Amino acid sequence: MSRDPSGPAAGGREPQSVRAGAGAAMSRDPDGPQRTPEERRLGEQVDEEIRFHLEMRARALERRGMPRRQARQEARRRFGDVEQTKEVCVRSDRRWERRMGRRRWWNGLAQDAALAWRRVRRGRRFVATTGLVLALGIGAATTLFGVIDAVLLRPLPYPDSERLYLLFETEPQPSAENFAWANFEDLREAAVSFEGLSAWTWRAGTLTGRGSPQRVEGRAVSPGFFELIGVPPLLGRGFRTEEGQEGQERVVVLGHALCGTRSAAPRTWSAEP
Amino acid sequence: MKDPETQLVRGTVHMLILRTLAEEGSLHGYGIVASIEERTGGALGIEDGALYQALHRMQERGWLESEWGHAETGKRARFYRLTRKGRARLATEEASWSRYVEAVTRVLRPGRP
Repeated sequence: MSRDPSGPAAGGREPQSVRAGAGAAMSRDPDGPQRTPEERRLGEQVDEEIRFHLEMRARALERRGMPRRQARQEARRRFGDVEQTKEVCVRSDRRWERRMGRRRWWNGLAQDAALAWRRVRRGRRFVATTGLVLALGIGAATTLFGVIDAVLLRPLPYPDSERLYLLFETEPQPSAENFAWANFEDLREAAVSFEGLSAWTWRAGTLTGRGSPQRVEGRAVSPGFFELIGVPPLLGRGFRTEEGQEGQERVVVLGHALCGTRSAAPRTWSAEP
Repeated sequence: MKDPETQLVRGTVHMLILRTLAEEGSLHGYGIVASIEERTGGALGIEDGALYQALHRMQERGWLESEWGHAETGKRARFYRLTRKGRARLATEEASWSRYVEAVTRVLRPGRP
């Protein structure tokens, strides 16, 4: 080593020539704007690895008597295409690093899972309490959402339901339940911005006839109700305008559920008044 | 692209590297080349660039692992080592190499039985 002329004892010029000789091809750096920081980093590492090799080779040749400049050239020649080797190595390294990264991620996940499992096994009561709290919270939130969704968020099952409006009277109190009939009639005649208006109210009654008497709930609606909501009855017809007058025959449209329970064949009903 | 002789060598580069590392433990790239050249007496020439490409590919495939260290000269170098997969790979490659050599030898034997 003490006789090695390329060591630091030789003086200031030596390190420069080392770089110029061994690294000439690599300083012709084709790093374009395409290079990512990752590629640059890997490229630098490969550069260093190749530089080391070329140095070692050159030194070995010098030791056998070859002059320095020739040794460096011979080392380069024996290496082959430096750029191509660097490309292949960097690509390889990139793939490898990606794979290592993924593996580390999964390992981390597995470790966390194992840790969690150990914690669970050691503190059963804590886990049970937490689990219960979570279950209650999730259950409550889900139920709440279910209700809100069905009542508020979901559109009504009628065509163009976003165009259906519920009208409120604001005097004496805001209420949709106590719309005065007279007001409704006035509105129906005067209103121009609505396609139609219909009113409904709650009714209850008893159904007699075949079988035991049954309490039924329903609505009384103004004529044109079925046309307004856009859902005509499955069988038969809705209400005619004249049936809304006082003194007319009273007509009923039966709900599907009722038809099912009271009669074998729904058709029987449509014939009855 | 390359003549048949070099192609043969390229196919066995992996095996030579694996064998060298199996015997010498941890080496940097130049050390591997030097070891092979020494043992074959210079009969087998591997282009250095091809060797480094092979080293990196083998690391990618999990047969080798590398770490940076300091060489005897004090400079930084990348040292390679066999992995468990690498040892297994060496065994399979040596086995198929033996079969190959045996098959070729039989063909080359003069005359027919």
